[in-house]
Amino acid sequence: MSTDDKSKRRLPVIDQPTTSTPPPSKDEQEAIVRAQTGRRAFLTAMGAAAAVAGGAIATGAASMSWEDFFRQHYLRLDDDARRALLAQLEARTLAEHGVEANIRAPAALEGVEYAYALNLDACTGCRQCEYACAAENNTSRDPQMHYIHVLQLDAGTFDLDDAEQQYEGTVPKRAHVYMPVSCQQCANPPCVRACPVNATWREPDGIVVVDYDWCIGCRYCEAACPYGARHFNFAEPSIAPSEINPDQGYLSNRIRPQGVMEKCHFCLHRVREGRLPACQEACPVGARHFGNLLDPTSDVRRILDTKRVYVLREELGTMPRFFYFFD
Amino acid sequence: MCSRCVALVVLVVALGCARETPHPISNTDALPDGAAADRVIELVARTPYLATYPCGAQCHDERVPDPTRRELVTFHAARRIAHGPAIHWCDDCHSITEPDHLVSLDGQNAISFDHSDELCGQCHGERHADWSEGMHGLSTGGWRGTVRRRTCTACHDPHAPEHIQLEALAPPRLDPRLAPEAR
Repeated sequence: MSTDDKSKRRLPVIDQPTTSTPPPSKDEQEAIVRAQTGRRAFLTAMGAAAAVAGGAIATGAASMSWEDFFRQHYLRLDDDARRALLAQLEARTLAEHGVEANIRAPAALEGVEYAYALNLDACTGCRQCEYACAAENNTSRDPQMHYIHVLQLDAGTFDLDDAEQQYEGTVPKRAHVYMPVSCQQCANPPCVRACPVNATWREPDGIVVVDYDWCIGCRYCEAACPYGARHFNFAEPSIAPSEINPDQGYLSNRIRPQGVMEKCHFCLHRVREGRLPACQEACPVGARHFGNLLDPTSDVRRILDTKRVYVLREELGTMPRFFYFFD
Repeated sequence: MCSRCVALVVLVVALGCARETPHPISNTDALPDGAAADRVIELVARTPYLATYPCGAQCHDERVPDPTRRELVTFHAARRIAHGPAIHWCDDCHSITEPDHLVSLDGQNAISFDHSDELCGQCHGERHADWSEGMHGLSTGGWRGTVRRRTCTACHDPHAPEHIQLEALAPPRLDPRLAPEAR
């Protein structure tokens, strides 16, 4: 198609005979191809193979096997397939990072829905939670990725647009309050609705998770999230092997590939074993409270029952499972 | 055995060794009904962290404390007392007769240093109620299973309670390529 034809299409003229539908452009083709490197390489190879009418597929598709490419969605895998998948990921972690990871896929507990309550009167903005989270969750150090962002707000306001993230020195500063923001684990999550491939979903215990192997990296969820909680791996995540946390979960802190979304998952691999999220363990002032929303005697339920509770951007109807409170 | 009994097996734990016999927290009745049996609350002992404990063996078995209100020059000189209006003195909280213990306001009950909540709760009742239900204070260990809670003095210096000042860790490093609009 000549450049003249293209310019005609861009400026349609009424009553002119329409040109036939053009074949999809290279960009359009790429948009439907998985962004994940292995998958894309595989598809490219497969496309090339199809072009030579049934030629050998193996060439150029080294990083992904048939089983990888044609495997079912995570939620449809049976126990054996899941175990095989985890073993495969552990082997890959050992091969690529030299770390013997223990990757698990704990199931959601019955009768449990997790919630977080954060005491805004107690938080001093020391960022201990932010770094403990990074250490626990194997997030990239360079470029740096943090799930938690601590906002410094002027006392008496909740003007998030004027929030300061780059404060330094001794905290808390006079006439300021601090508000750590991470994934709000919405009960009505806009990110899940935005995902075109079901790579992110809400688990029965309320945790919104991402399957890093299923994500195509389109970043629609990032645009849909009103809390800025979803982060994209622009580069290959880099962590020194000595800093890698070997205690890993499939839907949580296993090492991510480049080109996928990730976010806070309430330390899924910890909390489903009864442990606390790393941020609460790290908080030196006891501002963080984590627990089971369905247990009327739990800490978070007592807080919701008796304290002044604030939900971030309540008007959007996302129904967060992350509550801020004053006491 | 009812679920509450299971939940209220409260142990005083030190790092490896308990110095005191297990001691139920004072207001067990204030805990909500039907407290889940999946939680066991442990109080983290305070005494292993006190530099001059046991006070009796280290000094006060020999030296009888002087309850007179005065400027402290020879001992405890570094101790600043700035807890509310200037009406408090050592023997309001510390037992004269039992130097290894605190004492209730009425002078009747000795209180362990590991249970400062019983002492503080005499005045700070509302806060104490919050703490005993897990709404205030630091807890670690787990949201179920073993929950480890700290008593008041783990965070607050009772002699001069103030807001805690901490050094903030480094601000997030924003990659200019990824966030050109970053301030």
